[in-house]
Amino acid sequence: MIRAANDQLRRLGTLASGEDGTVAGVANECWPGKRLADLGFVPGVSLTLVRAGSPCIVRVAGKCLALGVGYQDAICLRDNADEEKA
Amino acid sequence: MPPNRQRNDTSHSGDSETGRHGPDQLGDAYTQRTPIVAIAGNPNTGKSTLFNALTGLSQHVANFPGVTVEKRTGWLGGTSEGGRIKIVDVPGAYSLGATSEDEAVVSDVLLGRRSDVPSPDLILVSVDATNLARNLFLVTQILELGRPVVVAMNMSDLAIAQGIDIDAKRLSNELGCAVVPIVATKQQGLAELRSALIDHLDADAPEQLSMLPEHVEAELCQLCAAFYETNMNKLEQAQARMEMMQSLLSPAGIQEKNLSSRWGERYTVEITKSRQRLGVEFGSIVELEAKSRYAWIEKTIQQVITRRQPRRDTKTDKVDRILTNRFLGTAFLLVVMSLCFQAVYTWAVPLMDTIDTVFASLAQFVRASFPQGAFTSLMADGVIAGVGAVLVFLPQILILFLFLAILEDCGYLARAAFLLDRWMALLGLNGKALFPLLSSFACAVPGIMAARTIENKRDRFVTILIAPLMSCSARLPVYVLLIGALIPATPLLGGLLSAQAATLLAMYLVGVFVAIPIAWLLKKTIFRGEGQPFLMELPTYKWPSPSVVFTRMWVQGREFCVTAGTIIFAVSILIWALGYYPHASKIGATFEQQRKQANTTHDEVLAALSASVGQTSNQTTLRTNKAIAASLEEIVQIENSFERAVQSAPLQPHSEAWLQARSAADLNIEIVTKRPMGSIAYSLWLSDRALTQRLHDIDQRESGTYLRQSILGQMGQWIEPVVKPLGWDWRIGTAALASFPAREVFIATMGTIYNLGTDVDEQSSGLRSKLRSVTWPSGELVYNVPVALSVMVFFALCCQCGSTLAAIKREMLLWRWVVFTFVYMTSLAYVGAWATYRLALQFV
Repeated sequence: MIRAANDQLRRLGTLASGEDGTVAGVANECWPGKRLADLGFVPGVSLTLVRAGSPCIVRVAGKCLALGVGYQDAICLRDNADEEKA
Repeated sequence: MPPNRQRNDTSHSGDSETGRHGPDQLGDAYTQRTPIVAIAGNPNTGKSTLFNALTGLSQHVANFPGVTVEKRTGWLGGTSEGGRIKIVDVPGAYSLGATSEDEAVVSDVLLGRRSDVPSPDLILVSVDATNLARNLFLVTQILELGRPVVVAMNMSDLAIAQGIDIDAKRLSNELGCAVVPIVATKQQGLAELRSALIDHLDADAPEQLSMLPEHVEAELCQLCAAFYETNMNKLEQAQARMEMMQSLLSPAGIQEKNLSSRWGERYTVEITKSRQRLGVEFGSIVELEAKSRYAWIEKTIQQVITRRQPRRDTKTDKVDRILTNRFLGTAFLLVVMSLCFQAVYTWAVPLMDTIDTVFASLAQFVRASFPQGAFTSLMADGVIAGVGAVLVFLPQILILFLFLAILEDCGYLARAAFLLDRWMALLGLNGKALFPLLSSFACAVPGIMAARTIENKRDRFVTILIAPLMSCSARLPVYVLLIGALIPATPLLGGLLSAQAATLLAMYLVGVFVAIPIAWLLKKTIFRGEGQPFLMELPTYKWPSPSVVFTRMWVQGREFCVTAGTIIFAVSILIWALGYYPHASKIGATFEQQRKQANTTHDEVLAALSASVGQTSNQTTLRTNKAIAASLEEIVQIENSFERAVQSAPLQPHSEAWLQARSAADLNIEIVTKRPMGSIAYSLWLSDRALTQRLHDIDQRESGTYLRQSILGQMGQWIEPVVKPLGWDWRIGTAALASFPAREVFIATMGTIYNLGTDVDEQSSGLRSKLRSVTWPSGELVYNVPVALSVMVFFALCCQCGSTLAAIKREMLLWRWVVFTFVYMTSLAYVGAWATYRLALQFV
């Protein structure tokens, strides 16, 4: 994933409570990104935003994580159209 | 285990030497190194329960030196004497790629890079069977460390209940290491796990699975060849590769910092080049490791897991719908906290009273059985009072930690942090600051140290600076004493909360509400900049494990007695000495003279009364005269019932109700005086009362004089003009002054101040009732509600703790922060106490 492309993708923070999404990648190339990736936010993983807000609650791989604003913006989601193609 | 076991570790030959220096190193280090098993795993996988189940009570808790991560060690239970195996519990982590110094402890211990912890011979990974995918990430990293690995698949009963079928044998084959399904809370599978550990200690490390793409492996190979020695063994190669991988793939991470400080500029240049080569091909470098590992995990999981039922809402989801709700959840949080404090107050009091009574009677016994003098005073008022002052803390510390441990272990504390993060964000802090600040409610020292979990330096510093404002357990006795003695137990909110509990809660909130603007100011001025985003797992709710909860309580209680207790005890003795000496005998002689004088005056009055009764009468017959005795008895009864009425109401002296009761009593007395011999009985009673009062007065003045002339008293009087505006007398000032090294000693000092006199009144054995009766020279009571509030607010805000300042120096490195903390907190305390006193005077 190239940085420029990421900027046009939907971010986790834009989902509404109860909405599902699929991870496209993490945006920034510094350690918080590495941390999110290690936690399982890798391309293709589906997640559910359980509770929007800051921090939000997101369910990924069956577990709930509370994430602050900075991390919500770092997680990029695939377009639904892309998903159907894939 | 065979005694001549060959160790496959040659890279860290120093380990057995360094190991012997540690306080928790026991046994056979001379002949052969004790085998060591490290327990690793994600947070919330029941690692603590597993550790407790494997080691029992043989464990030892300390901190990893240099970082504030708890290090727990113990012996594997159920093994024979000759083959003892030591178990080290490493902190929970999701990945070996560390982002903070605390997280780095995990990879450092597992890589054997810490000089204070011998490198492990085997790594036991605790995984949560209900969440295998994420847990396997860490497992796949650990498999590459070049050590034998055993996987304990915990909570396997929950997985079955959730309809997740895991083929443990298949998983074991895929991973290339032993996989043992267990239920740590129910002690299931532990025997199998124990034998797996013993069997695999000498086993070979699992085959390298090589999950990373070949290009990345090639880069790693190249980098390792460039920086490490060429003749490394298999283990060293694996360790070097992992170190290099975490550095390469985690730009600006801890591992990169470590390696570039090891190799300098050359390293930075090489790794940047290497990243550029990878970056072009694979895009975001931070996703590289996760992508490859999770791809492998996904493939594996499909082979080992059969999910019989689709995932549906679990109980946790349902409960969380309410508990993480901004309104309902926050309301619930407030209820939980109120209940907590109410329980700390109400449960601890009977225990504390018992401890108080036991030590008071012990002191009484010593005073009665030894001759009066310095030794008896030291034993009764110094030693026994000192030990009592330490032990009286314990019930509250234990109850508070009982609650904290239960809340943490059942998973609620993470929800509390989630709810509070919004409010923390207003101060520019993140929800993680909750834990250091919550720990500070027990003691600021571990709280300040726990602030290391906050990666962002600005957030960390602000948290450290406001942590001492949280009401620590050492302030609690001050609150409890003053509230118990002076705040009425009026029920509030229809009996839900008493005024006493409400005051206690208010004292805890004072610190919090003062900390808010302070943190905001600090963030706006000295520490400007962006904060660290919040990240926290909300674990599945579960019943708290008794072993985890009680271990926590036990450890906290022991730590308190050993560290704080010795200081409190020593200061108790010191304060006793400062308050007792110089103890000039001249003072005693002067007051003895006054006592004689009072008795003479009394005798003269009695002689005159006898004369008026008749020639043959004397002092003895005066009292045996039937008529006089009967009237005297009546007067005493009238006065007693008046006193009872005043006390039970209670009536303010000279208030309207008081005057009414008084005149009623006077009327009754007048009736008595009208009888034959009635007026003589009344005069006798008056004279007796005058004598008692005078003697009591002399006793008080004597002990007062001793104390005023003592070293402590002179210091206290010197500062009285300063504390007078707060409503304090010199005694409170003295106790507050003595509390600056450690506020724990306030109670002991107060006790010493009021016990030093030889006046031992049965009615005033407790400090509480003593406080209610102390007066200014003018006869006004010293302690009332405004004074009590003023003292409590002062203690709530003041930095009266040498250990806290030492901890701040250690964490913030510069002395100016220590001076800053001391000055800002002490001025805040003085202004706060003054304002509270003035404000309370308006309402009382």
